[in-house]
Amino acid sequence: MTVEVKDLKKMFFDPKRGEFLAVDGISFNCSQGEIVGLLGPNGAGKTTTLRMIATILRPDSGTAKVNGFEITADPQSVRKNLGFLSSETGLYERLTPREILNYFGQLSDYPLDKLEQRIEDLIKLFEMKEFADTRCERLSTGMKQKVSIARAIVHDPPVMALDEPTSGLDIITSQNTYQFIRDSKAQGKCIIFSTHIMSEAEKLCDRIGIIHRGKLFAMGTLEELRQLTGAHYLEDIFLAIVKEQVDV
Amino acid sequence: MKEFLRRLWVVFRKEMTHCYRDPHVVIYGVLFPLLFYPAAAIAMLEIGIFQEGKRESEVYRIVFPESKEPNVAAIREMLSKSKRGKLVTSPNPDKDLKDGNIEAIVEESGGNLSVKVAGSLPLSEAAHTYISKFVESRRFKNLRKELTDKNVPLEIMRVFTFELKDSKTPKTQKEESAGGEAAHVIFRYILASVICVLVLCIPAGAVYPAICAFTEEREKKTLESTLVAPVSTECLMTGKFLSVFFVALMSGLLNLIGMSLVIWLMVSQAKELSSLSKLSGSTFSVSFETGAALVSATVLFSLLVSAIFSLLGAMTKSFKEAQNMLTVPLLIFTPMPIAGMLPGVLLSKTLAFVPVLNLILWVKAAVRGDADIVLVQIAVGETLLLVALMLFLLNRLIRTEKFVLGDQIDLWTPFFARGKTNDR
Repeated sequence: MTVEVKDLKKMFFDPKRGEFLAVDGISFNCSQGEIVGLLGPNGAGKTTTLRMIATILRPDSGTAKVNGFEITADPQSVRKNLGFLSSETGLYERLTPREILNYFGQLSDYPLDKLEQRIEDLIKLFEMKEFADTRCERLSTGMKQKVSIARAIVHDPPVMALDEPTSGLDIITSQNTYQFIRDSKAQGKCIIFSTHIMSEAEKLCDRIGIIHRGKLFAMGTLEELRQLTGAHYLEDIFLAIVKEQVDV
Repeated sequence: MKEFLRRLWVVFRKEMTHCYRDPHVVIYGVLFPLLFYPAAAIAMLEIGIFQEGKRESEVYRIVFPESKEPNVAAIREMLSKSKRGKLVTSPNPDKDLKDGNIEAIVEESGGNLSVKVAGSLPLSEAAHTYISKFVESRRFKNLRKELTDKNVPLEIMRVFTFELKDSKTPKTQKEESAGGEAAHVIFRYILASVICVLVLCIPAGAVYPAICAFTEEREKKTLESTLVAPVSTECLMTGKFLSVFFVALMSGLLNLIGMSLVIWLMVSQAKELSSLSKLSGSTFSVSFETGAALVSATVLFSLLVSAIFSLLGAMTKSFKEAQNMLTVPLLIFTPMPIAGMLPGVLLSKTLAFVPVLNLILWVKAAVRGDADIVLVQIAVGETLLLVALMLFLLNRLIRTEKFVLGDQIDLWTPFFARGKTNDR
């Protein structure tokens, strides 16, 4: 398995709410060439889970391995093997896309002699030639998204964690992002993908995990989830699982 | 170690590029220090020339009755032939002075002269100064003539001047000449005040690099992508801090260059225009001790300011919030140069522990040539300790979940924050 998540737990403290479990014992795995979707409403714990996998946050308990490296024991190796794209990812406004790719490429230990070629390839792949040397503050949202994705994968990681990558994007930019995810899958990458948009998960994911209030209630292919709930559409499946679990 | 330094260089270079593309940094860190001093010097010179030119065309109407006393008559004669003095007659001088028809009345009583002016009239005070100059000049001429007549050496006039002897810095014979000591004292005062100007200017140069390196990461949501890069917190923090320090130091050095140019220009002008040209070069020379103290204090202060601003910059999550937060240390720094330049305020055992002020007083002591090495060590040690403390707190802050998650950070967060991030 390229990513193995076991019983991850994370508690936060909020002055108003006190201590609360943002992620409550989540376990799943993801193999090479597979897209696993984490589907849930806002505040379900998707982002926190991905942040723990990306070594930004430290889990209170549980463990996760990325390409064989444990997230708390060897976070630097995890970072070298992971491309993380957050919905909130901004860009350095006064740098150009080429400078940003160069910066993250150099930090990620990508072979320096191959870095320039890698950047050229990414510029070609994401059709960024026209604005590769324009400061990011002058780019449109779609252009910025292309740069963000290229930034996340500049070191050619085997694992990708994408947190709501189409959030706030128009339909054309979203389609381009979907295509990129499919292409990455074809290249054998392991992709963990979080979303609250049902159609996205339905279209892209090989397996879908239903997550709510920090808990992973079900995980399986669309067909398996249909059999589990008797519902056909993902929206109905989601509601059936969540309702059943919450009622219980 | 080699890998750490390579990554550090990558972070530093990126921060410098990003920082110097910010117009605020260019304006306050580069253009201001380079242009302000020459522009201010030129403006002052121009104002001086303008005022002098304006004065040249001024004519003072003076009522000065004739006198039989030879000295008074001589002064009256000189005034009547002068460019600006115009002697007039008036049946009622006091009324004319009140109405502004004349600028001054010179009256003689028992051989003594008194000048009457009206303070409410714009030219009246200037007329008073002008007449006083004539009287003074006549007095010296008379004294000189009297001494010559009595065959007394003119050097006796020097008993009216006095000079301070400093046992630690014996002066050359040339420096002891008239005016030399005064010029040297003024020059030393200017040198000591350079650090005071720097204490005000360096923070202005460090504000925006700190915002750029730390606050913007949170405000523009670039923090997460930076944190998932395989680079340690120490490396990230050091690279960012060094960029703030470098810009602050450059700003300080540019200020220093700008001020030096202006001082050099003014001294050259003064030498040309006055008898200062006869003085030895050492009157305006800077000793190695003074130069070293000035540069070291500049570096240390830049380090301290960069560390404080980096910490405060990391605690804020918007440009506006950062500007407000960073104004606080700016306000705290402001009274330091004023206190440091007060006469009698010297580097003492107590003041050596007052941050920033101790650096100013160190330079002041170096300029005076009486810097106590123990007190200097206390000042330097304390500043470095404060820098280390700020960086320690910054390191702690960057490792907290509050920082990573973009939550509100208060002053206590670096000390007592809950939740640590993963190996950051």
